[in-house]
Amino acid sequence: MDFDLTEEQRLLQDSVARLLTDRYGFEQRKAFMASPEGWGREIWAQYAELGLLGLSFAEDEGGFGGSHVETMLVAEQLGKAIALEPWIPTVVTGGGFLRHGATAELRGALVPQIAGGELRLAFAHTERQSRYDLNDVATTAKRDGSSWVLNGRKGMVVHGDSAGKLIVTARTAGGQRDHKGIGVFLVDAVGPGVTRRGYRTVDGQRAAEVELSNARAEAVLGNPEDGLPLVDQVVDETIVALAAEAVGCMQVAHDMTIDYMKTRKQFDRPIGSFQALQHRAADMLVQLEQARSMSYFAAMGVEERDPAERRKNMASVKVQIGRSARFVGQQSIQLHGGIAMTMEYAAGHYFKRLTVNDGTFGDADYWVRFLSDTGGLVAAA
Amino acid sequence: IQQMCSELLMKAAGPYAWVDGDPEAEGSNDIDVAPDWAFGLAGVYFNWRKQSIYGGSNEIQRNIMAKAFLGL
Repeated sequence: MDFDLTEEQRLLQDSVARLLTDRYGFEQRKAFMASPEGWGREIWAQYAELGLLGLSFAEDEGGFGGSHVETMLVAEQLGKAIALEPWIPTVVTGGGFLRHGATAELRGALVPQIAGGELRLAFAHTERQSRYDLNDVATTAKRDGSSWVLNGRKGMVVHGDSAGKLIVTARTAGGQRDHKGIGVFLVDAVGPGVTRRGYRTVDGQRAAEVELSNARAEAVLGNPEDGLPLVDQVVDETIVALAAEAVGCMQVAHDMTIDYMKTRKQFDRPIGSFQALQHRAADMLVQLEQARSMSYFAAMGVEERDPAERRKNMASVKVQIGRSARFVGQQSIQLHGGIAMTMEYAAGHYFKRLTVNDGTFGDADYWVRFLSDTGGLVAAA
Repeated sequence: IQQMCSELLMKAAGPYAWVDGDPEAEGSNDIDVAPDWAFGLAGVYFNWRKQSIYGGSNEIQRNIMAKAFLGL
């Protein structure tokens, strides 16, 4: 098993790291957060220049031709800076739906706009009652001539407020929780019948509530009678990015904590000299490294052909990443003491992002439950 | 215990725990953003991390207990 990066991958990683180190320091991030959009338009253009916005689209379609490893590398760097931009929803999730569910013609029309930075996407799936269950869809889609008309209400649409197009799940058949009968549709975010209300989320990013009232779909993605497998695949691919982002956040939170422990003095000594705290810091390192391993596993495990096995792989990733994120996040605050309670200091921002990251597409507890309900990872003897 | 409770409440809310801010703050109320009970759950979870820090952190309390009660 070769874990070495290729020269091209190393170059990609370094160029993203350099951009963010130069342009995404803590103070700069605060400025982006305070802007009307809540993230950096100028930075988005820089991402376009580096090829990040077309990262996993095929080269002959205007993309970078990257694999899940490239996604992992970029997501980790974005996590280190806790970048606020809608990269995951647009490029990983949205991009995933276009790669696996759109016609080549549709991709031909949209990929250049996405890669160029003009078009952003958001996945409108969660509903009031659905919590983390991907099969729970009440929004409806009815055939109307050659297109589909959607009605319903979507919530917590990550970066739904700035998306130009929404990818919406809606029921074409069956009961609310049936696995079959879910379709995936592309909807113009500013088209008739679409109302959005944007808001800030606790980690400083943005989301929206979306109401669809006889909104006409521009296109169908995948099979309108049975789109859940497509959703499952794209969510699993998104988990690769979420895992890597979390590792990036944890790395910085950990490093910041160690630095603090070396410099902060109480009782006439650096607090890092107290054994109880040294043990805690070592525990943080163990959690970080376990998470990093699972992030690598994610990039490989998502390529599993059997959907049930792939889902098990990604569930395991979510469990470890979530648990590590919770521990590293909580302990980074505890070991900093009072200073971490102010949002003027970066630690709290990392902790918040780690918390929301865990709660995206199911938290650690949700996926542990899933694994136990589906028979666990190791067959009983 | 408070920290465990606030964490559980936040997790129980699922995705709607992530909404920031005051439900009444925004102007237009065409679409309500989240169930009222979900607001502030994440905020309490984050804010209550201070419980194990202020007034003498848990680590210091353990030192005091070890010395004063256990004679170590």
